[in-house]
Amino acid sequence: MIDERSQQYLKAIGQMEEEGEEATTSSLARSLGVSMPSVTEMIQRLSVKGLVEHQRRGQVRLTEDGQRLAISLIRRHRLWEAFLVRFLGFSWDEVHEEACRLEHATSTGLEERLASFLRDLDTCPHGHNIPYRGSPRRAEPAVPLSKFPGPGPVRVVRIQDETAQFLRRLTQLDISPGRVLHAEGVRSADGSVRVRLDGHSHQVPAEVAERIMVQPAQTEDVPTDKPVAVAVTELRPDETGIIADLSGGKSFVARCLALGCTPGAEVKVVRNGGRGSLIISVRGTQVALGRREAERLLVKRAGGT
Amino acid sequence: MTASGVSGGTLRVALAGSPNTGKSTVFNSLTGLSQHVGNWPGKTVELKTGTCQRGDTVFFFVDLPGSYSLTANSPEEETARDYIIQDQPDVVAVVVDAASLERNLYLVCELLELGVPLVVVLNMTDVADGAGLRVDPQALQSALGVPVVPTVATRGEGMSELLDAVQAVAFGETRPPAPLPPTSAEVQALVESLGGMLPPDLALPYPRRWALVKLLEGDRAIAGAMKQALSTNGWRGVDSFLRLHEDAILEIAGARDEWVAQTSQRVVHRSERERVPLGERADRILTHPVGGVLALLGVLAAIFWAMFGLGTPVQKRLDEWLVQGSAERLESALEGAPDRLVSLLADGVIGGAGLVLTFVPILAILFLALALLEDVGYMARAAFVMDRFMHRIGLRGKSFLPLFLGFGCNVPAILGSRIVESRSARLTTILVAPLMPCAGRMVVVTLFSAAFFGGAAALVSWSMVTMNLAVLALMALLLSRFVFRGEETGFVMELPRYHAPNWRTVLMTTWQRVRAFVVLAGTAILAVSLVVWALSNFPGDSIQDSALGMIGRGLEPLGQLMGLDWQMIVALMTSFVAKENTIATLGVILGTGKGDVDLSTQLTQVMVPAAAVAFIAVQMLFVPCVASLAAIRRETQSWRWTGFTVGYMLAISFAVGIIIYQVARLMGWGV
Repeated sequence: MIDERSQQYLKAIGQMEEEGEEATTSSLARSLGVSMPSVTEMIQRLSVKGLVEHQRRGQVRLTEDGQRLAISLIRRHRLWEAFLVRFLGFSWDEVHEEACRLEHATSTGLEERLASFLRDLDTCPHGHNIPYRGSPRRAEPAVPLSKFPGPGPVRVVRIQDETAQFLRRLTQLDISPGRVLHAEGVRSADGSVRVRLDGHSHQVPAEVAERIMVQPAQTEDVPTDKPVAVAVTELRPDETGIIADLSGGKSFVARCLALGCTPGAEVKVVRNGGRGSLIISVRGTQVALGRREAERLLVKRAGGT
Repeated sequence: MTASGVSGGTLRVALAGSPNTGKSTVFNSLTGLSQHVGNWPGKTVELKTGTCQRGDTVFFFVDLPGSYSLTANSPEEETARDYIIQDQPDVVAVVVDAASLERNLYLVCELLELGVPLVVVLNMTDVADGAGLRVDPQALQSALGVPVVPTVATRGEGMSELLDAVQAVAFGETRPPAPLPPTSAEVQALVESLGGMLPPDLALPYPRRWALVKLLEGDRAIAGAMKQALSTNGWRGVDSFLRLHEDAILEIAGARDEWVAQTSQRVVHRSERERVPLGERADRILTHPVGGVLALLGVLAAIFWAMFGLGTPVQKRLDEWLVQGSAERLESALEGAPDRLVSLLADGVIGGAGLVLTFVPILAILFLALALLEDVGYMARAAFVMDRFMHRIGLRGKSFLPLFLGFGCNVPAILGSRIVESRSARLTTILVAPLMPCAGRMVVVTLFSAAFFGGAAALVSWSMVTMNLAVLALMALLLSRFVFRGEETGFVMELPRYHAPNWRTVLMTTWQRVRAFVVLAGTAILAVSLVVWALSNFPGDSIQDSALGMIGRGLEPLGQLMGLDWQMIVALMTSFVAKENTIATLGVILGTGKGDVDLSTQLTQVMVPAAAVAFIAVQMLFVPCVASLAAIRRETQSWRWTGFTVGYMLAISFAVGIIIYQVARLMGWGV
């Protein structure tokens, strides 16, 4: 069993390797906020235990054993973060500290239960990939927002700083993993980046922009100017639309789906008097819908016939 | 080996299918008069079974309640599903409407997922042809991997082939089913996560993987079973997982619908001459906000005209022949027998239950009309048109259907309210259903208004119906405003295609309802007739001295306010057992059946018009009959609501009775 401090070192090296960065005594000292001599001392202790290999020019590498330990720690950390946000109502700026404490108290059995419970999840709340058991996972390729070349839409992939203060700042800017922003270029004067979000312009300072990892957005990520979904009640008789979403009580949703009202299906409004119930035609069946129910059936206009 | 080569023994076949697919027609066509109608054990859902024999093989058919999917959204769907899964019939035959195959394949898809021995009955191929759609049964068969039998059940076509296919599947002569409709990787991952949260040896009365998928689809019954089987903490975890993945149902059902769309695209060929069906043109009027209501009123008027214009003369004939004629014949045949025995048979049996039986023609017309409207697909339009109005009194269009049935008898109205999904709307429907002017009450109203008001009889009857509907609307509004406030109601309903009536099904339904009424007359009503006869003949010799007379006279002070003497109060009391009993009781008390004077004439001799109006008003609003109360108790599962219904109706009826009598007297009807 190794102590918590050693574990922190292993984790830090593991994270750097994940990013495809080289771990060195100086980069470790920076990321852990400790002095160079203490890093050197710790690396020596870890290499005696056969967990890291010390190479030339301060380069440090995990051995196979070290990697296994590091991956497990990273995995536990991210699983706990995901769990806390999802099930216990923590916000994403509160969970890093909690997870740091929990990861050390987590047995392999608990780790596996958590992983199976959260099987549908791929990333932690900050956008980092959750490793699979025992095997390292390369981080999704991404560049800091501060280094993004030229104007264009970008998708936020992950956040490199998990301190509460930093994340709260991002919350204020409404930036989180998965969000698509329009980067308008770096200002040479102070290195800050101008971005457009939902039609509003923000100036993201350099020290923030360099810790937001982004990727050029794919076309499907970019919100277009196409009409947003409207309630089917907005459609006039003989107008058609494509079902975008439906909500409401469970049995209402289940009944709609069994009658063929699934997202993607084409609906045609047969009768809509502006008040009272509607008749829609979907997949060759006519369905009568109460007005309040129809308001929960969202469609994208497809045009009249 | 040919399909019919293996045979012998009994095969249990479940007939599944969505509503409006002609499932009942297939069932009728196969089983004819061997049908048995009852209730599912422990449930309030109608169970129809029937047999059909070919060679030495007996096919035992169970007509499952119509369902759109295997998710339990209503007691009907739950019953159908549990029968398929837990009773494991030898073969499940699922009926699909060839003219709207795409909608029907959803259920087929779910049955394929479940992996039950399946035969697909491709029904109404003639309707599809008429609409310019050709469904290729061979292509469908190879797409589904289970036998597909094209049928036209209305003409009995394809039934023999259906039995062949059932036999082939039952004896395992068919190929293994095609691979299940594929689940996406996301759904698969969710199912595995959920599975990991449950103990591997968890005992459930459903296949494990299937139950997990249904759980993700938000199936309440399975969630309930799971909650019971798990520890509190275990369930809490599952529950939060499900809540988190509430959207999974879109993914799951979406995959099914995609499969359905692809399959139907491959097997349905649209011909050039596909045209606007007649029904769509009819719907321009029948679902129109104004035209639809007028059409509905016209339909109702036609039914009433048929009931009273055609049914009443027949009823009068029956009354002369069955009641008065046989009473006279009986008396002459039994000359010399003890007076009490003659009186028991003539007054108790013939004058009581026999009289009620004379109303069978009127009821038969009503039942026939309702079955016809249901069969051709008009009922759903009526519900749609009425939704605007029903909505205003806190009910939904769907409540209109059961309430409308209440014109025949309140019992089917109460039982029929099960089609209303939301609990609050269903309870409201049940609690106000006894206010529907049922045929039993209409009999009394018709007799009284004809006796007292001659030419204005129809107007009086109509006013009484209107009064009841007004009270019903008021009660429904009060209940939804003050008792069930804030509870959601939902209205989603399929509008089936119109089709020509299938007389076999219509007549079968009519016959079953008429038979139920005759059975009621032969049992409960006969029993009450006898009890009333006994109460009116003992202990004293004359009615004045009988037990019934004493109770009636005890209540006379209350009756006086409504202008009712003790005979009327007694008649009212006996209507508690069955509304029609009012007449039977009056017949017994006034001694109808012997002598030349009929009941109508006798009535005009014993009461004034003001009292007559008050009496029929009270009768219309009086406590539900015993059969209705039993139904209310069963459907609400609560003595409190049952008691509530009795209480509010009693209060309203007396209040209205007193007001009407006092007002009518001021208007000079008191002489």
